[in-house]
Amino acid sequence: MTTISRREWVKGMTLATLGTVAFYDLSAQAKPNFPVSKKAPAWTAKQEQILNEWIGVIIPESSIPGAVSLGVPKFVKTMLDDCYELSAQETFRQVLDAFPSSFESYVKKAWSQANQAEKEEFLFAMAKGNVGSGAQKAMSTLKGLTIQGYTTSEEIMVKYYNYVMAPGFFNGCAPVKKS
Amino acid sequence: MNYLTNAEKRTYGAIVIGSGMAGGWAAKEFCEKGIKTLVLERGRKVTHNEDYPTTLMSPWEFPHRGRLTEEELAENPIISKCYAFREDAKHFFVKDKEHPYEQDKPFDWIRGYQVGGKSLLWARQTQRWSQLDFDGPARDGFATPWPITYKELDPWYSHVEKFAGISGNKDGLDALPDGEFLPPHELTCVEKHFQKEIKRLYNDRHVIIGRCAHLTEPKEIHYQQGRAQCLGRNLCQRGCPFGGYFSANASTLPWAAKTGNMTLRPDSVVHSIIYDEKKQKAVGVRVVDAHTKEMVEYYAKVIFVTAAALNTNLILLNSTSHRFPNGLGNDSGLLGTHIAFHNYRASISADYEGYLDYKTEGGRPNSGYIPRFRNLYKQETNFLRGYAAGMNAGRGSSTDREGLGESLKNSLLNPKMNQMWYAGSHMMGETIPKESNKVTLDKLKKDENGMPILHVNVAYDDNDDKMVQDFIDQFTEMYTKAGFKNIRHRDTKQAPGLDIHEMGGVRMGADPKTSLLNKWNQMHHVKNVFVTDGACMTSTSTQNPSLTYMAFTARAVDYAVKEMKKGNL
Repeated sequence: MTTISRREWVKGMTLATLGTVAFYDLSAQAKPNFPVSKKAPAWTAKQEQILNEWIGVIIPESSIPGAVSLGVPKFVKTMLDDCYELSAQETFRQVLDAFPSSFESYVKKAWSQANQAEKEEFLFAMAKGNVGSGAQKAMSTLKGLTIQGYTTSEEIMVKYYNYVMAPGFFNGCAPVKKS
Repeated sequence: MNYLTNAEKRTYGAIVIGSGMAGGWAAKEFCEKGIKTLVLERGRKVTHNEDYPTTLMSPWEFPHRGRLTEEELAENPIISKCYAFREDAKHFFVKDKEHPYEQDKPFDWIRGYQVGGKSLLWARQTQRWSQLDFDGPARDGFATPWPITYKELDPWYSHVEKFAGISGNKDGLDALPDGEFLPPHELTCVEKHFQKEIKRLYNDRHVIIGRCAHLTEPKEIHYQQGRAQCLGRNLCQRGCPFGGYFSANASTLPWAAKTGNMTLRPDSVVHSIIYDEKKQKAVGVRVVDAHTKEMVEYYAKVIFVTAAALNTNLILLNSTSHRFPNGLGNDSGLLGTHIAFHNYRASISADYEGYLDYKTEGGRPNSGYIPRFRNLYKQETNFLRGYAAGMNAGRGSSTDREGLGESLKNSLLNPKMNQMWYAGSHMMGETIPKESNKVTLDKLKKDENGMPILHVNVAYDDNDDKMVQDFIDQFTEMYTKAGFKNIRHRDTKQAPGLDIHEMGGVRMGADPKTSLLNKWNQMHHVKNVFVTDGACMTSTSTQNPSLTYMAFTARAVDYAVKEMKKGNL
């Protein structure tokens, strides 16, 4: 996991590109106050476990970290709690609670006994609407959030997308490197 | 004796109401000229760098990755329409319940109540007006003639540009005079292609790089302000840790503070200006403490009202006296009328399938710009005036989001360069000031500070609709001729206000019967009160207005101080 200390980052940027600019003590910054939703019910341990496994099938672990090890489930829960209407949250929880039994009746096997291919097949069936419209919506929501959380994680942005906060230059006509 | 001492303590050479774009400049100019200046800000204190809590946060550090919560959206139907009201900058905007107003017609009033005001949040485009713009109302017979010429404002544009730091290219265009520029940003290859094609196809249209308040190459004066080169982060609305763009917080206010002449008082809501009938001038202001709700009076020889256009109107309308029962200096009855704005309704976008061996790299907090070309020298369309436009072309990459498991993961980790460039433009249209577009005070309802609720009655008209259609027609033609494909256009029909360029209500003019301010931004009937923010604008033209407010402000302070020294104020 790549970690960049903010202080080091600013120091680096300052030395690299600014020369004589004043260096500000960033520890003086007040931490922003992010609201916490009061409406969403707590997630049960069971729900969290199912959610983790579900997310783990969408973007699995390999030699490259997958969604679960990059903390995507926490992001997904935050987004569902805070950024979705209560009715959408309820539908999602219902699908989540029914997930093991839906899986079992569709694949004819317990989740714990199934392989990745079987799990993916079930998720594709959900996405197509073959497991009901609620499941289709929930799958679409979860896939979108999982991709968002994964592609905006520090690991992926820095290592794979070459994210830099302050590029310090602009080239309006840069040759595309042929791979 | 105690009372007198106390009142003396509350007496200054100048009072500046508001600490944003115009107020910051008034503060700097007064303080540099040795005038003890009280700057009153209704919002909280925001100190450069100390109070930019999100400025160094990476995308993954935002719990909602920039998105607003359902609760915030539900509570803020107005402000959440603003493009910059997102997780990273929402703390710099006024929430809907914080200062209610009445929309007699739909109007999105976007406000930033804090030290620095909206100068923290602005889009930073800075174009000078030309004489063609100042001639507008007289030539086309609307509003009232401007009492000032380009030539008179030119040195003041230079004055503010050098200090603020404006990047741009000297394009030599009648419609958009050149200024004191730092090196320009670069156009992208497709923007250059469009520039070349438009030059080839039209005599009257030009594509240039935008002129903007970013330090592309800081000068000594900018280092003295503690500012440094813009690093192209494009995160300006969070406040810039380098002072790479101009804001009152990074520039004018600390400069004013350094003189030792400025007293900055946040959390101070100005209720009204105190008019003394015997002295026949204003003597001070009444201020409501935003927390205790206590009212305190402050006194000064001269008062600058730079509270942002509609709040400036509100304060003046609320400043009633036996002499001015309808608002300060309002003998003409026109105070609060002729509110105008910029028409940002229409935009166009397209694809371009050339230059596929190239892409953009790095960051540029700017875009291309097309100065007004309609009705420039004479009336030639079925609508009055015209529009400028932004022009932006870039090339993105995208990932295949089909699939699941390893195949999805592999796609996400390997973004592919798009097989086309994107190009887009949006209009910035002049609207015609009308007496019926106005703000008034509610006769009964007051807010928590005891200020009357402001009614906003501002709407588009037929001229605006025609202009929207012309923008769409002309840009469709220009894009088509430039070889752009898949051209899409839209009219958002967004309400006035969302442009955040509301102007007027306290307009300038030579004739006291048809205007409130003279050519020095001085009230015709209250000589020691000046208005230099958007409220002073007689017409709007198409330029992003802040640079003109800055120039008006510096010029008006220079005049006011000379008048003070002559004993005329």
